[in-house]
Parts: sequence; structure tokens; C-alpha cells
Amino acid sequence: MKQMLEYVHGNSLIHRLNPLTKLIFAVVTCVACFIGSNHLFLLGILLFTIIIAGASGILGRAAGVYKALFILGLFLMLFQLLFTPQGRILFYILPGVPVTDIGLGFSSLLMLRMMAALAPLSLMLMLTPMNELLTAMTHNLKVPYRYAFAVVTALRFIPAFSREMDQIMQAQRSRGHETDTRNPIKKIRVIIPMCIPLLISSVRKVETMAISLETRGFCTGPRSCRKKLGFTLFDILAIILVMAALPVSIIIG
Amino acid sequence: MISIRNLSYRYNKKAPLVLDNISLEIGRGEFVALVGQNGAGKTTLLKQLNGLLKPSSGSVTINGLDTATVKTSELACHIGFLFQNPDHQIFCGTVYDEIRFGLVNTRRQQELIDGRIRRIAGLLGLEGMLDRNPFTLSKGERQRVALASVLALETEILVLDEPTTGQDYKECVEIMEIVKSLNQQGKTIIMVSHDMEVVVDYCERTIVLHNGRVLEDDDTGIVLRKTESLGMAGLEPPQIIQLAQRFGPLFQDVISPEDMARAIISCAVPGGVRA
Repeated sequence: MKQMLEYVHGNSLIHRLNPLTKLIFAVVTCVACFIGSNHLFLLGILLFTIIIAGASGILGRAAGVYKALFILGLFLMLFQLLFTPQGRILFYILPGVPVTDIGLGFSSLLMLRMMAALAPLSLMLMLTPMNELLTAMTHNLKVPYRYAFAVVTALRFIPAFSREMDQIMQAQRSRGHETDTRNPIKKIRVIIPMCIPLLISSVRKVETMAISLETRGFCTGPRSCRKKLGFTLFDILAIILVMAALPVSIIIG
Repeated sequence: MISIRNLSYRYNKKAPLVLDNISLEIGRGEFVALVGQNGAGKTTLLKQLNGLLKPSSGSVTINGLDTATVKTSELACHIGFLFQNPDHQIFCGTVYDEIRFGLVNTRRQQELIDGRIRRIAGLLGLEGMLDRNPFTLSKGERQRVALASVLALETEILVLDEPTTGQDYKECVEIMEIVKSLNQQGKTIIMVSHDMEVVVDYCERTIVLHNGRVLEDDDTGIVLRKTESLGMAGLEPPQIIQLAQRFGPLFQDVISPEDMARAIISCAVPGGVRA
């Protein structure tokens, strides 16, 4: 999961777009996915994100994201299927648990919506360096630096925590704790206590970071930024293209 | 006991080799130091030993068990592993539970456990802290708690990844003396260290890793005199050896202050050879 949020270095047209454009893309497609309740429309959005990933040369890394989203989506779909008894019964998945046409339609829509709404967010994070995102938020969107910094830091810490968790799991495995079991239920039970060292080390890390920020004059005055982020023609075209998704989603409904 | 054959490893298919065709045999009761720069592959090699990482090619066998097929949690009965950062290992509410954790995992008998915990806590100077929460202890104490929880398993092989970091000189000597006594009881010790003084004082055999290859592998005394290889791996021999090298060939066997004193006396006494 950790690669879902990590920036992948590149120099494609999409990498060079203004971070704000990419943020608009992520937010607008996400909103459109919740407005539009049409399988084909959602599938189209999903396909569109895959094309973007391909065009920016990160399809290999993005494939992992799509796979993870797909698995998550399947779970979501399965649960919806089991708990939607309305409609015409198509077949029985288990004795006494029917699968209906409404259930199938609704659950697949939910799965597609989840995938299509999350994929652009994850793509945006993979295609935008964090500090550029921070600049865009503070200088263009006028978000107070303190809050923008908190959001960006939270995102940046996720991969770090994920690596930390790997280390903890390895340490526990080496003293005979069966974190390498294949049984998923057993695995969850075994992993929960592992969260304690993660929590403690993250609190330690955050405390150190807070002190280190203060010693370097965090939020003591107005900030300057090294790189001015301008809008190019491509940015404007991209925003228009993305914005078009909104009316389409309303019309298709 | 430990047999590594043509081991190569890369983290993924496109990444460069981290370990490059390593072959090693480590016998029962050896005390081995693994040295090299950061990024030379030391920790990666250690993680291969208990199956946390599986070979990309070649094989690693521990007591006849192939690490590629046996789970790490099963290998834990044969090989104890101390991590660099004790905070990755510690998670129980008290020091007592922390030491107990591994014993329960490896299904030891309940009656034996309590005695063993107290003995090991005594060995590491933790007996007054058994009821304390490990997270309120100092870094050095936490390192010792982590070591205690590994020692509790009483495995034949102990793998220590920089056990003396964060310890003051006295604590460092205490830990190393414990490790030495375990070695004298017949345990096999493999240790990563950046401290050449510790290596020369305690380890019989030294392996120098450089860019994922074995650069040197011999008795510590011999390896630490190979200034050129050490320099290549970004290391320096301990000062006593550097000094001895400047005195010339008569001092070539000096690796400890005692040797140095003996060599000086033999040169200084009448009838002795002048350097």
C-alpha cells in the first residue's frame, strides 16, 4: 500500500503541470464519481486515469495501486451482494443467501465508484512532489501554512510509518511471533499488538520533529518560496477537460 | 552450522545486487564480526540468516534447514536476532512480559519460564526493572531489554546487529562480556559492529563486506592488519594496530595493549633485539 502515496520521479508533461491543476483533477473527478451513477461513466473515468498513468510513464507503479483498489473493491462488492436481498434472484451464492439483479448492479457500481474516486487521488500524489503541493496550497489557495504543512506532513509520514511497521513485523517474526502466517484471521490477531511499538515510535518521532521545527523558526514570519508555480496553456486545457467531467456526470446521472 | 552458498540478493528485479555471490561457512561456537561501510550489505546478509529475506539465487542453510522454505518464526528456535533499534522489538507493558514473549511463542514449558526470565534479567542487570514499562527506560536500558528478550530463547546462534550502539563505555563492555561468556558456553555469535575496538577485543573471525561482496574473511588479527582492504571498505584498524604497524616488522603480531607491552619489553631489555 505504501507506494500508493509516494511521489514517483519523472519529467513528463503531466509531471510538469501546475500542482493546482492536478489537485483540481483529483477533487473534480472524485466529486464526479459520486454524482454520476452510471457504470459506463465510472468505467470511463477509471480508463481515463489509466491513460494518464500511462502518459506520465508510471503505469508500472500505478498497476500496484489498481490491484490494491481492485481487491478492496471486491470485498466491498461481496459485502453489498450478501446484504442486498431486494430484486430478482439470479442465483444462490450460499444456501439461503441469494444474489439479486439489483444487488449485483448496486454492488458493482459501488466497487467502480470506489476505484474511480480513489485512483485520481493516488495518481495526484504519485505525480506531484510534496513541496510543490505545499507551495500550491499556501500561495495559490491561501491555505494557512500551518494547516497545509500538517496535511502534507501527514501524507509524507504514511510511507515512513509503513516502513517502520515492516521493521517491527520483522523483529517480531525473528523471535518466533507468527506474523508470517497465511491465515488472514490469525494474521489480524497477531498484528494488532504490533501497533503499540508503531504508535510509540511515531509519537517519539513527532515530538523530535516538533522540537526540530521550532529550533528552525517554524511559522515565525512570512514565508518566501523558491519556485514560482505558473499556469501554462496545458494547465488551462487540462482544467477545462477535467471540469467537463462534472456536467457529463450530472447529465448521465 | 551456517552454510551460505553463492548467495545473491536484490530487493526487486530492477534493483542492483545488494549481495553478490557470497559463500561462507560458519561453524559451531565461532565468534564472527561482520564489518563494512553503511550500505555494504551487512544488515541484508544478517536478515538472510533467519529468513527475513529470501535469497534471489543461491542458498542459506541453518542447522540443515533451508531458509527459503522454512518460516522465520520457526527459525526463531535456532537463531536469535537482535535488531539495531530496540524500539522495533519492544511492545509489552512490562519488562517481564517482554522477556517472556518469545518464550511463549516458541512454546516453552510454563514452569521453566519464570526462572529463566529472572536469570536473564539478572545477567543483564535488569532485575530491579522487571515491573517497569520498557518505554520509560533509557535507550541503553531498552537495548538491554531487547537483548534479554532474544537471549531468553536460548538459541544456538545469536545474530546481533550493532548491539553496543547507544551504550556508554561501561554498558558496552558489560554487554560484550555477556556475549563473550555465551560464546564460551558454545553459542555461535555473528555480530555487526562499527566499533573496531570491540571487534579486536572480542571477535575471533572478521568478515569485511564491501559493495555486497566478501572482501576479507580470516582471523581478526590478520584481517585488521590489511590496511588496504580496510581502507577500501572505509574502515581503519584500531589505534594499537596502527601504532604497531609504524614500529615495523617486529611488532607485526601486536593486536592488543598486552602484546604491545610484551613487544616493547623484548626490544628494550639488554640482549633483546633493537627495533
